[in-house]
Amino acid sequence: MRAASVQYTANNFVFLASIILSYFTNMFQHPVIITAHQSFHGRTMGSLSATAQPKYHKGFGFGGKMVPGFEYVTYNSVEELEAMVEKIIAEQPADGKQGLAAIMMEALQGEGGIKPGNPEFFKKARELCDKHGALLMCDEVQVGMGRTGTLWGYENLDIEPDVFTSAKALGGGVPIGAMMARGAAADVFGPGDHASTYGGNPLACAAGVAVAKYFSDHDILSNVRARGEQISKGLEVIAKKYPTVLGDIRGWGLIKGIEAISDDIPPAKIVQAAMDQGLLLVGAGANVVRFVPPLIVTEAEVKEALEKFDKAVQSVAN
Amino acid sequence: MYVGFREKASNNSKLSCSLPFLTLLSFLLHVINMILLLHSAQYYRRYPLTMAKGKGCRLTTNDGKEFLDFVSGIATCALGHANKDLIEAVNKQMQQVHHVSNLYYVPAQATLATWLCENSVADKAFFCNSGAEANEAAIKLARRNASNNGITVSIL
Repeated sequence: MRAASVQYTANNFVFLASIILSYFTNMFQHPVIITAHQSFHGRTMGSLSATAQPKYHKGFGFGGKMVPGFEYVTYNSVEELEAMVEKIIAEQPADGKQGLAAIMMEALQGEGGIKPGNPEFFKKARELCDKHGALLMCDEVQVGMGRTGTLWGYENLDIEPDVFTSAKALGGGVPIGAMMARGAAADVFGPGDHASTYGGNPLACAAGVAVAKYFSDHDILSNVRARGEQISKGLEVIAKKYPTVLGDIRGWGLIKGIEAISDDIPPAKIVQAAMDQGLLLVGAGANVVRFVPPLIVTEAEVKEALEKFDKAVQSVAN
Repeated sequence: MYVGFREKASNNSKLSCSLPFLTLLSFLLHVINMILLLHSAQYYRRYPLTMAKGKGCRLTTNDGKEFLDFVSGIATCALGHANKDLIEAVNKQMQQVHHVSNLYYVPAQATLATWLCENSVADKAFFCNSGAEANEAAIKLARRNASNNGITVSIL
């Protein structure tokens, strides 16, 4: 009886201590992750909840809600980001402390319509993360591994993230993904905290090593920059020829997008027309046609693709 | 003993009595099935193309049409299709050992992790199978970090 009472008191003390500790320190029970509207981070419940696009959330909620703990701001809006961090700190729920856990952004929004990140925005995100003990996390799944002309997208933004993610080009088409962490963030997980049965298996890693070796043995990044420049210049010429069909040209390296500005000629129609000419393209977001060739694409192949694209646009414009 | 469906049905007199009704029912079921199949097929809206072969930046369909590939499997085939080095590396690994789980050491994993860390700001790599999984890991890491934060600071 007496032992049980001591235990009960001890339990109460531990509970009380944890509440006091959480009040005086940064430990919090409501860790909020800020992501951007029009982002794309994946289709699993967590990554989908981070993906701020209502069309992908439709019908997957529980009581209308996705996985809690995500707040969304407009990509590249410094004001909205600052206001959101303030709101997270100010609005404390009754059942535990709330704080900023991370700001998670794509270095360039791919599925959102090929929108490059603004260095000022990312610098502010870095500053806010440092101030609040949060992690700056870059989603490099589409833009990492050389796609932008630098090995990682964040190199275009003048910041160093605490965490970044890679996949897609990492295995050159053999499925593999990686989460990379820096400094203290690299020591957050211990054995047993997270796992993957297939993760980093010999087959997938052999593919990853082969891609890495290719990057080391060839000046692939120079090719990405030169061919990217060639695509941009070529698209500018074509856009001028069809000013009612094509609009803004955006992107870095070999991830380029061109806006389809006519309501009658949506990206899907242009993609189909290009296919009819023997060129494969894919849309991005609501009104963008995306150019993401292999990083080894040659000058002659880019020239041929631009000629095919010109013919394709001509066929739908008339 | 294996009994075929036709044999079983024709042996049942009750069933054969209502053959027109059954024919109608089976037709309706067929229509419903087709509708259901249509819906399951719509997980993806695919183009009516079947890619049979690839080389570099070019893809060829099973009926011989050639395409210049500026999609690269949605920004994935960085080295294009049928890259010699990639084929050799995967073939060789497949012949040696292709999967053992993370209960044991995987040399290629260490090699790739080292290359990635040496060529980025990162210090450690966690491997998984896709971008969604990598982001999922990052989300979990952010939450665990927040949960750990300050716990080492002695207040009491």
